Amino acid sequence: MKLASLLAGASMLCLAAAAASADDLAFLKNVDHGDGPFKIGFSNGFIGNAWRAQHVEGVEKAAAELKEAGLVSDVIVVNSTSGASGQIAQINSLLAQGIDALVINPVSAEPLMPIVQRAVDSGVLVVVADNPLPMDNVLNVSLDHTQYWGISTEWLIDAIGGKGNIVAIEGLAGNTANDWRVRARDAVLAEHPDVTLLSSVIGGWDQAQAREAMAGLLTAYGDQINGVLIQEVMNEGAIRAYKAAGVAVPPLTGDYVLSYLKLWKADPELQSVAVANPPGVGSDALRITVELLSGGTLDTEKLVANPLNADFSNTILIPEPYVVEREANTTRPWCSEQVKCISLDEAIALLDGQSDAASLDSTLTQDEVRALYFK
Amino acid sequence: MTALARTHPLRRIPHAGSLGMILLLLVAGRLVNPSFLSPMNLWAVLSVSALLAVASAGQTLVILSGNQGIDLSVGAIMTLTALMVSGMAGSSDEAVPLTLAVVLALGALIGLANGIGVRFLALYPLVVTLGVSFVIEGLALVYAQSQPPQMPGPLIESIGIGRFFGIPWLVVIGAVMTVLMTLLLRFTRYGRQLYLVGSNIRAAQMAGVPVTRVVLTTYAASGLLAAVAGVLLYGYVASANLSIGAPYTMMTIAATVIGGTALSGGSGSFIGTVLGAVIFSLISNLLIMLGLGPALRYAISGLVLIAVLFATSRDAA
Repeated sequence: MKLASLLAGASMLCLAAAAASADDLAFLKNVDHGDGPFKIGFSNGFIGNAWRAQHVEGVEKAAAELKEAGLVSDVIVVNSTSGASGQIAQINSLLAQGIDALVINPVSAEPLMPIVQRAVDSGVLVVVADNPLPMDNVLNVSLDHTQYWGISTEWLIDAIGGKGNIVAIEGLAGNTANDWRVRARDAVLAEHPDVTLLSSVIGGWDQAQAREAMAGLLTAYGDQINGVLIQEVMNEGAIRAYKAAGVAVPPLTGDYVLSYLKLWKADPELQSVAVANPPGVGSDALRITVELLSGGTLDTEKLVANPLNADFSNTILIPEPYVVEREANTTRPWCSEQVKCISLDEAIALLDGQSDAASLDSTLTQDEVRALYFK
Repeated sequence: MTALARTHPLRRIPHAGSLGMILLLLVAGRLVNPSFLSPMNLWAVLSVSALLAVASAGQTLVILSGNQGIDLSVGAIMTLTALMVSGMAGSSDEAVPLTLAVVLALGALIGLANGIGVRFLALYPLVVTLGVSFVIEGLALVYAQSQPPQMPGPLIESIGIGRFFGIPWLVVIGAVMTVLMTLLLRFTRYGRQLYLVGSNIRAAQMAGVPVTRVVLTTYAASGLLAAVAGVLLYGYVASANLSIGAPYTMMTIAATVIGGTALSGGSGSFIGTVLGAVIFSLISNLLIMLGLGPALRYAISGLVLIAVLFATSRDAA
């Protein structure tokens, strides 16, 4: 019996090793494009907000450095302003320009999969930044949304004393990141039976919609609401609903843009937290792509299951770099070397000199990419 | 319409359909949650309604002007305005008057461009205003990159959450707009000419109505009013981004049509649009309170809107 289980264990280990061997990974079959310098296309699916603008800026900055270093010949950045159809057309034109690799932040998964498949078939290495695709022949480089709303939820539960009622305002139902966050929230809530989620409504990452939603929730539940769990962009709208109603704001999860951090600083009564979801993930994805093209050996132990299809192990999760509280609390269970727990003042100092719309950001250098994700 | 319908007593009350629907929604809301009729909730709903009503003022004029009149640039103008007020005025009140002058003039100019496209290039209003909206979205993107949004100063702040003798400023502004628009439509020469142009442009021309002037004024006014709405929207939420105004293009058309203004032009009133905006806001408030899942909420709000249209605008059709 003992031997049998030992053998079973050993064979499982072998299987795991085999599964993790780099040769088998479908997305690596297009990494060989000679010695470079390489030509890379970056296709961004949406350019409607400050986060995306910063996302693209990060890519352009990394591209300039990589060009200087002689690693890439060109990074062609295109932004779709007309949804999936625009993005498909732009990828077609990138492929026609003979790119070695495509880094894409897809506007939505389903409509983009056929064109991404065509890119893979034509020998292009495809790395998906930010919003993942449920395909096994691409490498996803995503932010850890389990951390984003998991930490936010845990913080809120702690802030209301471990029991009570909360309401939630989500981004957009059906959006990959939003649904992923909701799963993380529900997993945390399942461990806290004393906390009741009264209602979860859609705010569309739109301040006006969020204010309207919060006003409705306030009417429906009034002072039963002990805490508000809300995703980024919409926080100021929700706070305004409270102010307009003349009701004190309960603990409320915050945004990681400078304008919100300033507002939080100016209001000593406001109990809040901000988990940064950095736009720099685009720059990280570009650097990982360049490392792959340059012949780097990916550390397959760093790969996790595809968030949209657990059968594929082809995703690198970039941790959320900062958790901001008014006073830094480094004893929190989520603090680590990669998830830094910092104070509100430190966060504001990090964004010193930038515009109010700037997000707390974090980007890896080429050396850090190599050290963290390559052998 | 049958003779019976015309003589039905309810038909003699103006806006009976809209008022009935509002009453129905209020009763339904009260049944769902007793605090639906609390002053706090009613002021919140009226604030949202006022914002939507001001945004729909220009749309009402354009749709009244007939000849397939519709303004799809309302949302884009609101976005550009909110971004510009945020970028130019910043966190102090000093620059607010100059900023307001600039954005309102710009809104009117954009509207005038729409009017020129419609009247002189003889293009469909749908096409002209959609094209113009793309141009403005591009401008807004360039502007936001060069002049990122900032937090609002005290004046804009108080538009969004302040009160005037206990009434939210947004509601006060919405009420003033309702009076002004009603005076404009009922008691000015422009108002009368607008209905004539909307009903029958050829007959209006033959009767000596300066059609070109009326059409240009209408589109310019729509741009100007969209800019006013953009300022209010920025006050409502206290921050601006590139997609902030987008939902309003369709919402203003919905509020106008629910309010009984005929899409064919020449018939309707601003009071109707205001009631349409109130109905729209009550529905979304009620659905939030019911705590339904998002998919069901979208579907129900669509169905309710169709039902509302059936109840309020059958005469126009």
